[in-house]
Amino acid sequence: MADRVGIVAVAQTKFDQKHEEHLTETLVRVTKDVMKQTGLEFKDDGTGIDSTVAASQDYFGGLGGIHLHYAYTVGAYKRPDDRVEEDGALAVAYGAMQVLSGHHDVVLVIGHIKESACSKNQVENLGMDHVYGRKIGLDFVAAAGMQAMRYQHKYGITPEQCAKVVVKNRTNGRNNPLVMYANGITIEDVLNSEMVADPLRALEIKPNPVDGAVAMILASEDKAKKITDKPVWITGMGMCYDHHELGYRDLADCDALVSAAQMAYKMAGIKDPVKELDLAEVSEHCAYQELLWSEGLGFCGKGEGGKLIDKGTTSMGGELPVNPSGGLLSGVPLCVAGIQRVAECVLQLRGEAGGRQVSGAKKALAHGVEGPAGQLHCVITLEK
Amino acid sequence: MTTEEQKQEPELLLYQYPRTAHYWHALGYQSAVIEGFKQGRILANKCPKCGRAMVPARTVCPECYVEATEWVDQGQRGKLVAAFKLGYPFYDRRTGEAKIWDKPIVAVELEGGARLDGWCSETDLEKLKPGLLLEAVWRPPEERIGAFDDILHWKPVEE
Amino acid sequence: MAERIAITGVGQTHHKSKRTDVNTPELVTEAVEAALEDAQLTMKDIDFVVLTSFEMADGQYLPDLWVVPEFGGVGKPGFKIQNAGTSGGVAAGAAFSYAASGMFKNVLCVSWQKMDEGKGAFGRGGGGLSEYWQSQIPFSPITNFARRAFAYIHNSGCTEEHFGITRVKQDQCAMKNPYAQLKLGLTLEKVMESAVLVWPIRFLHMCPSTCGAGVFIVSPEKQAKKVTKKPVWVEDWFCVHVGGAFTMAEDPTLSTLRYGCQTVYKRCGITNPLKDIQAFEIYEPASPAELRWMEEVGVCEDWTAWKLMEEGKVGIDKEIPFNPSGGVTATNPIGATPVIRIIEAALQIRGDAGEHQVPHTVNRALATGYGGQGENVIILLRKSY
Repeated sequence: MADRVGIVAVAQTKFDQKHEEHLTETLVRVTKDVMKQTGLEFKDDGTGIDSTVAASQDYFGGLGGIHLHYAYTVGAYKRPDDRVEEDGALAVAYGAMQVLSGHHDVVLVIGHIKESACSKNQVENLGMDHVYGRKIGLDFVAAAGMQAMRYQHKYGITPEQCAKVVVKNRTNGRNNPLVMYANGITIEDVLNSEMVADPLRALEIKPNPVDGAVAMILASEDKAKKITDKPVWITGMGMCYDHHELGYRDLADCDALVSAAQMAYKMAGIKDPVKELDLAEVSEHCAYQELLWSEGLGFCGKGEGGKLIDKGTTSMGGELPVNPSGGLLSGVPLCVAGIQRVAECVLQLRGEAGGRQVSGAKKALAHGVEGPAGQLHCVITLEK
Repeated sequence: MTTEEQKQEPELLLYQYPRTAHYWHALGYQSAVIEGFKQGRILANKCPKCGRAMVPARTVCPECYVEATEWVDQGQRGKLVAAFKLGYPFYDRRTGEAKIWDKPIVAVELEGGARLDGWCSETDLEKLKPGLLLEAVWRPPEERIGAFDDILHWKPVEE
Repeated sequence: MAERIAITGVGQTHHKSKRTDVNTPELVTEAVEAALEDAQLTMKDIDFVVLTSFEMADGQYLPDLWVVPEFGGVGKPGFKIQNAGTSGGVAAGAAFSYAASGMFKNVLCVSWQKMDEGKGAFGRGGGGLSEYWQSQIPFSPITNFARRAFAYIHNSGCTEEHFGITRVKQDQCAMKNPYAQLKLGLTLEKVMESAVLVWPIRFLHMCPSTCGAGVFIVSPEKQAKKVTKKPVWVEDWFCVHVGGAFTMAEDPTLSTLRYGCQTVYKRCGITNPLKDIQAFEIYEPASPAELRWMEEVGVCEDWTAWKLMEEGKVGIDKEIPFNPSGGVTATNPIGATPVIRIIEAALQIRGDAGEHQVPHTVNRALATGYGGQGENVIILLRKSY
């Protein structure tokens, strides 16, 4: 029985355009990393790691059930290997729930993907409904384009404000040795880049392909305190579904995120996110999304996302730094994104974030999103 | 049309994707096995802790979770473990067509302990009993591409 | 905090090989509405949703995003599990975890499969041989079960007729199950005449491809007692995966069922499965597998199940109540099948299974899910504590 769930170790690979090594070798490497940090092994008698929760995508692996090929590399031989086939943040939430239910005490959560294996927009097109979505060639980037256009029109968000997000995150990314891009860029670079899905320009969209894997170990409160002297506690979790058809909701709002955030804040007892949180790692697959998700998370009022970035609240050194790790725009794969957000928060709260450390960080928020124009959101709050 | 009438005449939507999906996969530990096949050898990697030999190669030993980096030649003979024969067409990657195979497929336990699948020259399933001694018959070196069927078939050993 | 949990409502569709009258979300809504009706709840009462389906076989990416709004899931928290064959079992385990935490009142577990839409799109080899080797040897559920059947014949001394006898028994049970897909009125002659797919597996021995959905609602103790007078308690569950470690190419008897069941039995104090458990709903994708699973679950000695089947000791009102619903050989919507096993086991405990109800009190029922190369999920249900 557990009152709280603690994260006791995290490991990330470098995120690169194409990992030349085989998936199983990457997985063994990150798993052994977290095993070494905690001194735990896979055991059946409750003295080691009890279970594995994975986040991966079959379509990017090219086989019907890639967990059937790799599970033994993450210790799931004669042990559970539950797979959440969506954004990694949902896998972290499920891993935490396995501990809170009392069914397992120590859970390995691992996310991995090889975006370089195939064409992302071909796969995402299969995620649209048969009658309308697929025929017009819709994929998640095109859906984001529509959302960006609606959002910019309704609230007067300007392309410069979106470009500021890219500049901020890519500048932050220079301090993160793990993300793909180590060079900063300017607003002119963004506004001059190629138009991909009006109004989204190439540099405003998360780079693709990027490969990578992230692993972490979750444990019940008593065990977490024994395994490490710097556990990071999960204080709140929330998730919520929105409509699938893009026309059924006003794309300039993100009601699902508001719901998910409220569920997490209620659990964590957070009333004023900007004052109480020290940093936030949100999943911005496109630049405008950071502004929109900030509104949904309660960092500013509706439609004030542009003002938020202009004021500098979300920059490093601002009142609530958003994406000090460089965000997804610096090169992080999808699906792994959610779990990488959580891993970055853990490093920040442990004081191990190197050049991107937010000083004195005590409470953090990680956010993951899945689906076209943010259909499924997941919010996780953590504290030291 | 009312909803009831519509439900009686189902409309089906046919989707044809003119594009094919291309996937890029790394080979990893399999490269050693593939090179071995080209040389006419069956290589398996072995766990240093429990000694289990595995082919196709596994990155770690699943029981012990230890990296298995020792490669052992499994020999050219083995005992039959299981056999089956396909009653429907299967794709032949060398000719590019789907055909009915008259050779059954056997799982063979090799001298080194690993087990491998392959085709068998004996087409009568009655004669294929577990424990039957089999020997590998390879394709000529220029035809070997690093695949299971580099071993043309397994032949029962006549003592 | 770990709480006792119980299943308060179940619902499934009438399984058919083609459902051209509904699309996927509509198919799932049928089952969701059936489950809500069974529990006398509405979507307003549901506060968490766990979804699953084997999406590659349907040719759809992230189908939960498409399905959730149709049955009223907008605004609800939830997520999707996907584990190929064992999807339903793992999703059930996830729903159980969420309910056992005590933080949610009514958790909905939704599973479905619409196999008339994909064309087994990306292949269902069953995994294990890595991407490079996978397509070189014919590696599919049919060949895997042919290997199992070969090993069974040689180890037990039975003949292929015994697989036919098993198939007839499965069909006789399915004839009494209004939801099952294949109700064929089989005789031993008909089975032995059907085409040989991969000897000794014949066409009629293998499970069909089905369109169907299975849904259940699970709640923690206090809520469960409020909702229904016949809660079905979930005593334990265990997911045992193998995932690429060893394949049936290497061991044709590979299975984690015995290990999984023994672990659950030990945790729950079961010493004699046939005495302590009164109904079994085990996932057997082909008739020969049923014989072997009977031995692994522990209702009889190794390599003797064929004799019991021959003597007619297995059936709804016989000594060994194994798969009274007709089993998976009669109905197999892959993503939903483990959930349907749980639903059938729950119906047996409640006494609501109708014509295929076992005629004695069922205090405990065992349900399993199967996938890949011998992975299993074992779920133990009980009537009361």
